[in-house]
Amino acid sequence: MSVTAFAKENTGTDKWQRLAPAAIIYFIVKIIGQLMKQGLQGLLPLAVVLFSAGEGRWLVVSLIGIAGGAALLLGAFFSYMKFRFRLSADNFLIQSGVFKRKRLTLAYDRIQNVAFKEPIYFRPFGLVVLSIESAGSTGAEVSLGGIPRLLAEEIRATVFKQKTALGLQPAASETEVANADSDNPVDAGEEIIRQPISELVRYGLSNNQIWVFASIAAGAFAQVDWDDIAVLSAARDAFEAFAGESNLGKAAVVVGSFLLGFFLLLGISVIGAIINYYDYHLTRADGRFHRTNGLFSRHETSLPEQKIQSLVIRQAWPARLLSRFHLQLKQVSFAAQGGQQAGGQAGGSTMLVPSVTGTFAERFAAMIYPNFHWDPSQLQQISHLYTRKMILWIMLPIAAVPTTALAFAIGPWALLTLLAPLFLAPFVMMKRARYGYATDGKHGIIRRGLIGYKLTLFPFYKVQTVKLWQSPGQRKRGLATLTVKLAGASLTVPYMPLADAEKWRDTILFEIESCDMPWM
Amino acid sequence: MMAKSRGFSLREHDIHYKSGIIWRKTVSLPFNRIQHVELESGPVERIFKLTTLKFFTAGGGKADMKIPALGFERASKLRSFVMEQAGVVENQDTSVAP
Repeated sequence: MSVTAFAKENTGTDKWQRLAPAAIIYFIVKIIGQLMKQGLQGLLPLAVVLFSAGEGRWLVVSLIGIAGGAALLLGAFFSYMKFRFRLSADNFLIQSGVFKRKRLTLAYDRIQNVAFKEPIYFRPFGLVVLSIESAGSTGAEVSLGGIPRLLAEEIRATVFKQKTALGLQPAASETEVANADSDNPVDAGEEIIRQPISELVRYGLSNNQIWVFASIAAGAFAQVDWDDIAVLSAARDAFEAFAGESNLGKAAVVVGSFLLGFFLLLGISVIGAIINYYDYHLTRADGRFHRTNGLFSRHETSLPEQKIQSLVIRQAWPARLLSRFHLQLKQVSFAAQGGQQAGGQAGGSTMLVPSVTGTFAERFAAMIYPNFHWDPSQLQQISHLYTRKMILWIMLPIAAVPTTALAFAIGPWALLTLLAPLFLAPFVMMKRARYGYATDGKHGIIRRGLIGYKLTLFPFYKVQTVKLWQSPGQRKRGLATLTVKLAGASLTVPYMPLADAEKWRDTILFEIESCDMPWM
Repeated sequence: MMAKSRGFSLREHDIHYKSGIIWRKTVSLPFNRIQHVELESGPVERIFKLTTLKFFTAGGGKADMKIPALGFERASKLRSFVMEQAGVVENQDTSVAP
């Protein structure tokens, strides 16, 4: 049966439907993935057998392997057999589970987003994985693994149509950018950007996630007792033979291997970026952004514009050298709260536009918030008292702890550690200078960072709560710390003038209370 | 003195709660952003027949606003008032939307 016939036969009907037979592969992959996730403790008995069975161990292992494989195949087969879904007038129903039957009903108006993924093993069959995100759940989303692309598109259209019919999706906004004078025109609001590999390489070079990863990995490596590992002692012998006796040679080898590691990490980062974002293109139609990317498994995500909570323009320090920016469209998220500080690894809840130029970033911002005209030079700075507070009240006490400890060991020289905060002072001053805020009465913009920076643009009506905080010192000098909470992110501006903070709060509250645009 | 420094105020569209003697904090919460309201009484609060009212928004995580040590009667009254306000706003919202 051809794909089109399949799609025709299956859409629009109110019958229980099944996935395509190739979905068995999807279930196999899923089961393996689940096993991996649940930890490899389950494989521990296998390891015990492996080490204790003596002579016949390979026979035992291969038997276990065959049995496991058969169980996997059977499990996947039954999962496939038992998985059914149905599109009714206002609900999406799914039945699944072999031993534990699971029935899931999802109302169309609760569906946040519909995304496609095309894993490499589905490509020969022309199938996709359709995942449905609903409000409130981060992990427990629904996926239909292995349905023909046409059917998936049909389902998406149905879902969005139903939403519109229920009056929950306001008509597409007619905000179109004037792009007559732009250098690469945004074709009738259709294609916004297509990223060539060169830009992806830039993204790989300039996002600092790999360094976060590297520091974690370094921490993990430090836990390992290296002397136990034979390869390393061999390496050490090689090192000694190679570097010889001279200290210069040793230093050269150390520096060389450090550089090698550095470039290796950069290489991994670049490759990762290419695999993830290969053939990236972003289009916009009917008030919805649509993104396609990926080398091995193609991802298709669409994001209704009204769901965008804020736009983040970030430039990490390596990106400064390449003069590129990374844009993030933030959606409602409940899990990403903690990730806010750790530096943008929030996965599903952001849509990333990697490696764009400054002019594109500005144009993009103007497209999302057409009425908001801003200029980085308008940003107001926070009080310089922030620097003083950080050094006197935060860093000095921290430095005091090792000082007192060292004082017992080496005497009065330990007082020198108290000077450490002085050396950090330039960084604190830089951090203070990076903080900035501006508003036009309807939108806000907040900047923070140290060497690179992160600009967050948000319309005031998307704000959830506002918090004002004053320490005694701030009260004396008429300053305040303002925290603005959006759905999925919280932004803080420390040490801003109280008058400004109060004005921000009052304007934001007024906007929230007077604006009938839905925040979600 | 602790008690004096804390207080809440209701306006037409929002609720404010201030707290702290040395570090002063004010939280403002518009009714139309309230997701749900919770009443909680710890063991000590139960002895004195008091309760803590918690407000949640979509901002995630923990409660966005907590008003502690309210008399039970007063708390449930406040809760139903706030819920009603939130509901009214909600209805307005949906009726306005196309």
